Amino acid sequence: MVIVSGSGGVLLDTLALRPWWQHQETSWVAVRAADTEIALHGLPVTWLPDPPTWPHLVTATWRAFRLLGRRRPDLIVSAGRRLTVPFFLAARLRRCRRCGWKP
Amino acid sequence: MAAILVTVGMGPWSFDRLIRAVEPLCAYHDLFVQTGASAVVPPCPHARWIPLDEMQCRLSDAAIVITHAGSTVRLVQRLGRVPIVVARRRALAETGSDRQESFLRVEERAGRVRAVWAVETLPAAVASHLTPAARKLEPALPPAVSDEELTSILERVSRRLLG
Repeated sequence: MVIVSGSGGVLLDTLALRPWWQHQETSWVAVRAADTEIALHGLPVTWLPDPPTWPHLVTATWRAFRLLGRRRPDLIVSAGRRLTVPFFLAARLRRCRRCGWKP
Repeated sequence: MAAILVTVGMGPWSFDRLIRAVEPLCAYHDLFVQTGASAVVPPCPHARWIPLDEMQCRLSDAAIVITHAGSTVRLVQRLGRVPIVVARRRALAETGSDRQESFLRVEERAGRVRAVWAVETLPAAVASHLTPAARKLEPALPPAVSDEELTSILERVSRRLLG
């Protein structure tokens, strides 16, 4: 499973799912920030830049597509938007299952 | 004098407007300010970033929590209390969307927050929030799902997705 998380509330949402994902084979894709660095310390994380605007969506999706090709996850989990959308698009292209979480 | 926690969240956006607004309170109350990406340094104890566990302790210990309209609002409400909330505004480059303002309007209508739309009125909001009755959230939020229930729900969802 790959969990995709930005900074702030999105991170809190994904961390709230810990009782579930702590028993799974999990890796993370996250935006580097003070909170993500503290909270994800010791976990397998690929740090990616936060795509700032929609024109960057194509680049971000291509980056996500390549990363998913290497990881081959069964499931992608996220609660966010900016970093998440490219991953969900790439997952669609890779025919990987996606699990969005909107509390 | 009340123990007040001010938090602007752990995201990358500054919220100087709120930090400046709480500065006058430092003279009268026991304040701790989590300043995040803000450049303003308040004249009271502060830290830019706080680990989540420490934040949970500080939220539990504080008599009053002043926060941006982010996830902290729910954390305070889960403790059975009403937070004082100031929304970040996209027009002031304090965030990238209008979500905080719309979220705060919904919570204000539901009576679950003390919304402050003009930061000049923040001291008055704190003064009216000093009694325990003013801070108590009624009716209380329903309890969060248990770890077992959460795991069971997500196992079910993932099994369905994976066939």
